[in-house]
Amino acid sequence: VVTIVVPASAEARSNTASSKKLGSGVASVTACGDLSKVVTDFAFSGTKVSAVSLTNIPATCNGGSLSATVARSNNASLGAGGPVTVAGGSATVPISPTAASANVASVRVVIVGP
Amino acid sequence: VRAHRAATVLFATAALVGVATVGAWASPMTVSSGRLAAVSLPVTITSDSFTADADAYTQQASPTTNASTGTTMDVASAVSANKRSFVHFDLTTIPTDARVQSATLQLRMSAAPAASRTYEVDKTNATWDGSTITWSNMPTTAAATATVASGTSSGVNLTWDVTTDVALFVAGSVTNNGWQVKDSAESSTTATTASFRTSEFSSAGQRPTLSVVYVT
Repeated sequence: VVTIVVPASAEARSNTASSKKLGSGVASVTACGDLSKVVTDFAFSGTKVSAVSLTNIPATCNGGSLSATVARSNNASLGAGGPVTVAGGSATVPISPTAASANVASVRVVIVGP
Repeated sequence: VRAHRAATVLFATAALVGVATVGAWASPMTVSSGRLAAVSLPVTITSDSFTADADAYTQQASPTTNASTGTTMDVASAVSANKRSFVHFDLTTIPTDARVQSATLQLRMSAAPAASRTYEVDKTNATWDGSTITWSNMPTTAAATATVASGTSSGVNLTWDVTTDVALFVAGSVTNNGWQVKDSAESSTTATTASFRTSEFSSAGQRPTLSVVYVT
């Protein structure tokens, strides 16, 4: 039996075993906190985004490993960085390669742990 | 087993590697418990360039004279003959909830002082009218926001970092009354003057400019 506990906003839509040898185990995956209120700011090198500064991260995520990706409106990655450790509710992630600011439509944030 | 998360499934899956694998698991396997939080935050980064909607300079030696129609404005340090310039930009097109990332005031120095001076920009504390401002009625100012060394080369741009001021203006925390530009050491016994292009100058590229990058 494989059980995955996903964040409240996630949903398991299908259970498809692709192997005839399905093992057993339990992976309990929970969120350190609600990231919807995280505030994004940027550092620039010329007109390109060189770093993303994230603040208002829930304190329960302090100590987690944060990675960030800046993306186009079609979700294609323009650049990414991390992981860095969340401390004091904030983190700054250098982005590589630097991304043309006019093309940035979203910042995807993932925190693993703590 | 496949866990779907509408907007973040792809990178969530990638992030889980090393902690737990979301996807088809083959036996034998070892799965450890872990914590994962993920979000996709929409942002728009806007770069705007503003030209001054008012500029002028005042003259201590002619305290009731308005100087707002010429193509240059002066900053001078001289005993009883200091001069100060004023610029204002209309920033009302920036959303009040925008987060200002950077703001740079640029003035074109058409005539440099003979010796390098330190020029400062200060927020003005009250509204002023470019067509009526004089040394006698000019507003008081806050402490210097930023300073720059003028150098002695004419025909160069001087820039000041005014990010903090613009953030306050946009948020409405401080009224946008523009800036005063002055010599940080006025009343010099050796008179020094610099001239800057105004918004009346023919070449738009040399007019006072405020470049703002903000996020919404």
